[in-house]
Amino acid sequence: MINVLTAFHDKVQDKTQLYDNYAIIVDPQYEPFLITQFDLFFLSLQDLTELLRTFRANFVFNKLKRSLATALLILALPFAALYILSTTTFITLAIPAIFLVLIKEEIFLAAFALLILWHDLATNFDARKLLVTYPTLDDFLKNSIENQGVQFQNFTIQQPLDYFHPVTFELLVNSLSASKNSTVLNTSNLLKTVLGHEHIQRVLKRLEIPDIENLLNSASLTTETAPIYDYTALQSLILYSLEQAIETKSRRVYPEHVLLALFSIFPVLKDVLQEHKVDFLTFEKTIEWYIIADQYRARTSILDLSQIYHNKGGVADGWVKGFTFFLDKISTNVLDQVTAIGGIYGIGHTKEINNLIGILQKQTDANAILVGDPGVGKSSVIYGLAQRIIEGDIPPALKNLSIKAVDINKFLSLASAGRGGIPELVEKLSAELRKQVGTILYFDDLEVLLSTGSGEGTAMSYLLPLLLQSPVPIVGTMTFAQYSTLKDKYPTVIDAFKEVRVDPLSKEDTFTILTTKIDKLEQMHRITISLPALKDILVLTATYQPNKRFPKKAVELLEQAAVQASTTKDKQLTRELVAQVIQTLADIPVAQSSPEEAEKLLTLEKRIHQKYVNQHDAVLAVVDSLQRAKTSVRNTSHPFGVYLFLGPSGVGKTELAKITAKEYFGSDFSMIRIDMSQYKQDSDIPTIMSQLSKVALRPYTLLLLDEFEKTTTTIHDIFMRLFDEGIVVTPKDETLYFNNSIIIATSNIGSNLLLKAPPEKFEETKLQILDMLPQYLKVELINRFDKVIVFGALSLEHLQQIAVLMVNDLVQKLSEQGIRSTYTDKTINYLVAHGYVPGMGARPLRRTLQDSLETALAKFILKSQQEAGANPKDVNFDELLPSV
Amino acid sequence: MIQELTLRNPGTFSVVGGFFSFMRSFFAWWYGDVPLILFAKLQRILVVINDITSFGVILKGYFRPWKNDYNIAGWLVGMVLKTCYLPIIASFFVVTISGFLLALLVQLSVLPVIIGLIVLNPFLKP
Repeated sequence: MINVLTAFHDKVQDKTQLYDNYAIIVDPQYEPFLITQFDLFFLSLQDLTELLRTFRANFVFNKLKRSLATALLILALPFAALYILSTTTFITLAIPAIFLVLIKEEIFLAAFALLILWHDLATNFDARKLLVTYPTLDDFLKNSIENQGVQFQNFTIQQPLDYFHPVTFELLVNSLSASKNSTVLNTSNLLKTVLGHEHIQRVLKRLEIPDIENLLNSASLTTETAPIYDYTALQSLILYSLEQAIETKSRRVYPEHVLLALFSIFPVLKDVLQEHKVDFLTFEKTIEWYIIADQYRARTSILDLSQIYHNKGGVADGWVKGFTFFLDKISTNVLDQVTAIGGIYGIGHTKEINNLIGILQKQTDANAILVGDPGVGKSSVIYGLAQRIIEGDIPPALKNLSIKAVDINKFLSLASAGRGGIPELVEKLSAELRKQVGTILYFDDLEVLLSTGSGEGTAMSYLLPLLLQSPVPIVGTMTFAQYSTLKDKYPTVIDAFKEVRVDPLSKEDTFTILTTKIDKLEQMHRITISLPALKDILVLTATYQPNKRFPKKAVELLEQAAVQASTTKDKQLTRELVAQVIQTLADIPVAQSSPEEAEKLLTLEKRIHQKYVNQHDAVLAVVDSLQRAKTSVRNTSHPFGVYLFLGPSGVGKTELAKITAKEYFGSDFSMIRIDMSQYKQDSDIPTIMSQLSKVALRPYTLLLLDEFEKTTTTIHDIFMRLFDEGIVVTPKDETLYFNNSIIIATSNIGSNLLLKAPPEKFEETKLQILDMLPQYLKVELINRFDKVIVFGALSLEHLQQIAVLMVNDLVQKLSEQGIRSTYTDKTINYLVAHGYVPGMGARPLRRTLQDSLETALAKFILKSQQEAGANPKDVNFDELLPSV
Repeated sequence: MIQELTLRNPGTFSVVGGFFSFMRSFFAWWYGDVPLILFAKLQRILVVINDITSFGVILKGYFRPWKNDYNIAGWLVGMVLKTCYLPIIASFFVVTISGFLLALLVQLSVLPVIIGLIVLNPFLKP
């Protein structure tokens, strides 16, 4: 949506040309101008020079005038007091006549000074004219400029500086400096002056850039990146600043717009922000937000002409429209609410609001149901409509309408409190509405009517007469699931109501909504909210709360983080705090660039191998996927990683999953483990779904599907989408998200081949197993695994290492109880000798440890407790082993 | 040449010239902009009064019955009450507008002149 164009006029060739590269024009042959649908902004070089010439003189005069008027006003106070005292009878003051004349003179001069200050305030402290909202430009104008067909006489010529806030022009003038015989514009100086302005400083503070000096001395600021121009360059800069003001919908040109213009002219300056980890878009949004917020804050009283007055009807409204005592009891006026709360409503829902306006203009069945997922902003559509009515931005037929939001729960509680049953209250409401003109009834969460009561006796069935033959338009909201129930049970309602689909908002619109919340939350919790934190809220909720919708999930997180920020020492809602809050809410360790977190990830492989022997490929695959996930370089609509582990029993497939869950996800409880061999019928699908639904409570998890090949093909098909998109839809239409999970499926396919093959033929056997895989699983399912890893059989050497890990684990457990334990190779050799069964992996070893060492140890400890009344202090495992 | 008109040659400035230029600007604002601002405020005050007293609503619905009860009694009560109510509110409007206009007249036309006369009074006396 372009509403302004920049172009220049070649005086020599008398040609106009558009340009969009933000070039600085210093050649007097070319005259830049800005054009909107009706206005042409142009500042001639003569005018600019004259303004600059007289600026300082005017500045000094105004300062002098202001000081004099203020002094006269201050002096008038004691003079007025003296004069009053001299006229009273309580105190006799002998004031000479000449002084009395002077006092009177001073008081009247002060009155005049007051007028001068008023004039000063009205003319020198604000822009002479205010910018308006400019309509979107059509291609016709663009083509006209290119083809020399613009009829300039049809445009109103505007002086750009009329729209500049005086402070902005002062900044521009102050950045000029004398050089030899000319005056130059040093853009580096200008940038530093603008960055030092209080408006920009508050922006930087909100962007978590506290060190302004550092920013000013940035390495990116050189004479090459910010050059020196002749002062005539101001002509272009003024127009570009004005363009920025129009684009940000500001009413005046502020120093912020000069800065945005400088960033557009010299894109390399964006690096200065990048050095502070702030992207330009966030910077731009922050400036935009301040401008809008300042304009809203300036609206204070009903006599403020910039504020649209909302008609409430007045004391005698009911005389004509009829009184609605019952309706008033169960409803609130949405228009009054919007006026009282203030703010902007319906952001991102223009399409839905327009759709609703179309329906409400119908002669019959002007009813609508807003259908959408929870949290997409269905109510916001109604509030947006209310705002459009207040602002008069609505077709004439809907002007002066009022919207009454019916509190269904209040209605039902009145019915149950014996104030008449539902049918009686419905009749009462209908009677009042029949006399009402210009009202829309709004039912938020219409589904409450479906869930109240049972069978034919639901509240909906009682309200049917009202819904179907309402004398006033009705608008309700519903989720998709409830809407389909309504379709089945009450098709007549569906006929009488038009469906308006409400889609989730984009990230950009949600960001705008979040910015509208800043003021209220800051006041309520006495905190400062940084804009990068808002951006993080969007990114984190999009990644870690896929089951919730924008904008509600982002608003909820913002509100929770604001509460959290109010409890901190510096009262700042920062990016770190947002990460902490979502970590708690979603039970997810959120990606942070802290050295500890990086260390944890980089050493993960090593730490897993401290507890896990061999199978390097498998460990590496798991670690790689977690590292990708943490650095946010992964595809967020796919699980962290989907792996198929193949291998004989006891080689450590499940053990690796357990250790990963413990080492990375916090504990092995973070794992959802499903033994697929138990589900050999398609009728087992609901049971599997209920197991999978645990992910809703713990989205950051490891899903282990043991013996995956042993279930049915239909069940395998369910997992296809899960492996691919990280999504599975339950029979109850509930969507489960696994995009923050690692999925590991294990299988014994090809185990016999592996057990029979000598170690040197492992690679060959592996290929054989992979070749035979399609006999057990569909090819498209196999393709959905990120990696298929074949676990090799464990050798004696591996078993020895595993035995050491197991015994060390035991040593650790005992040391926690204050028992110091020792052992030698004798223990390890014993365990391996008795726990090695070819083809059975490490499981027999675990059993040997349990039967021989752990049992003996338990007996030893009990004996010590019996004899000494306490645990033994020392134990030697070698001595506990049965003699061979 | 345009380039010669630089800040090194900032033109001449006299206090007297500046004063007269200021007075011209002041009176242009006082008699040009201020009445417009005040009239806009008056318009808003009238809108608020109209809303609070339901003047416009009553006027538009003058021929509609009391509380929208379409029967003889409704028509009768409605007409009588509204006929009594409207002149009271109308007089309120008239008083507000006239008071405002009077104040505006005094403030705009007379005030600066009176101030000027009082300030200059000692010097005008023989």
